[in-house]
Amino acid sequence: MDDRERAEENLAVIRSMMERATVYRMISGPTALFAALVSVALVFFIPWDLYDSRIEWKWMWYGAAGLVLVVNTLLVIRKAMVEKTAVFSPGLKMGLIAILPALIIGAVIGCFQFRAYDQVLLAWIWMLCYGTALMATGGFAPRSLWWLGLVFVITGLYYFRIYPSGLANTAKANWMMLQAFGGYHLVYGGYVLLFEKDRS
Amino acid sequence: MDLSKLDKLIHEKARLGIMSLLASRAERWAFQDLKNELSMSDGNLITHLRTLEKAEFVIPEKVQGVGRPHTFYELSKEGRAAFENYLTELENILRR
Repeated sequence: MDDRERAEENLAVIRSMMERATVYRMISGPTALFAALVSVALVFFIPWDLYDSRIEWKWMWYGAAGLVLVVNTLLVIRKAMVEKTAVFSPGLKMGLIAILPALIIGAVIGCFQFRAYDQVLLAWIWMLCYGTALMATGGFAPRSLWWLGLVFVITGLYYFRIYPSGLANTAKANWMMLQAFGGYHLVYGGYVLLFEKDRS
Repeated sequence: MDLSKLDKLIHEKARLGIMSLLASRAERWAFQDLKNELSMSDGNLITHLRTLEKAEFVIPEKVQGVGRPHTFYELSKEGRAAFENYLTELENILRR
């Protein structure tokens, strides 16, 4: 084997390793875009006038979250199958340990609170919990995920300012959810797909 | 220009894999994730990581969280510079 062939072989090793390392980003990108799509569909294609109940509003969004979770899980399983590695990897385990506490808190609060201004209160709480969950991965996840979490937390804190002002209703809550879970995921997913791949 | 001018520390295939993974992200890598990605045994991976650590190419950090402690690795400034030099040398060889 001459120098040129060995150089080509080593560059192939480097390329292969870097492609593997970007798979997580490439999964989080499509998942974020799918979450944005589901949020938009939920806000614009559900006849909310017919379902203007705090209970139904809440469970619609729980359903959307469940759908996104299923898609993300399928992507993780597909990645593991393609790479012939374990689905429940140490990295995934660490990630779950980091994000689950805040997500579970948000989910449990949503299940058990029934006050009249539920929707806006819940949208605000979910933003804070989700943002906190993402920021908890800061020690090992891509930095962009931490920033996404920070934006959710800042938005949640901003809405804390207007929350007691009596604007609580389905339309307002949907706008908050659309802005955060739709808009921010759309921007993040687009960023990951366009730029994170190139950076590698 | 020939392969003898390449950094011997990085040129070894296992260490090249480690350096490539570490260079691919700005974030740290957990030991277990490196092991899984590279399909290496604990002992083999530790040996190579120690070699890179002695050369000050990688920085280890042990984190005690929930469950077992985890060791994370990231490239040092010197390590990243050495890896970039290595890539440049490889490109030069291919351009000849």
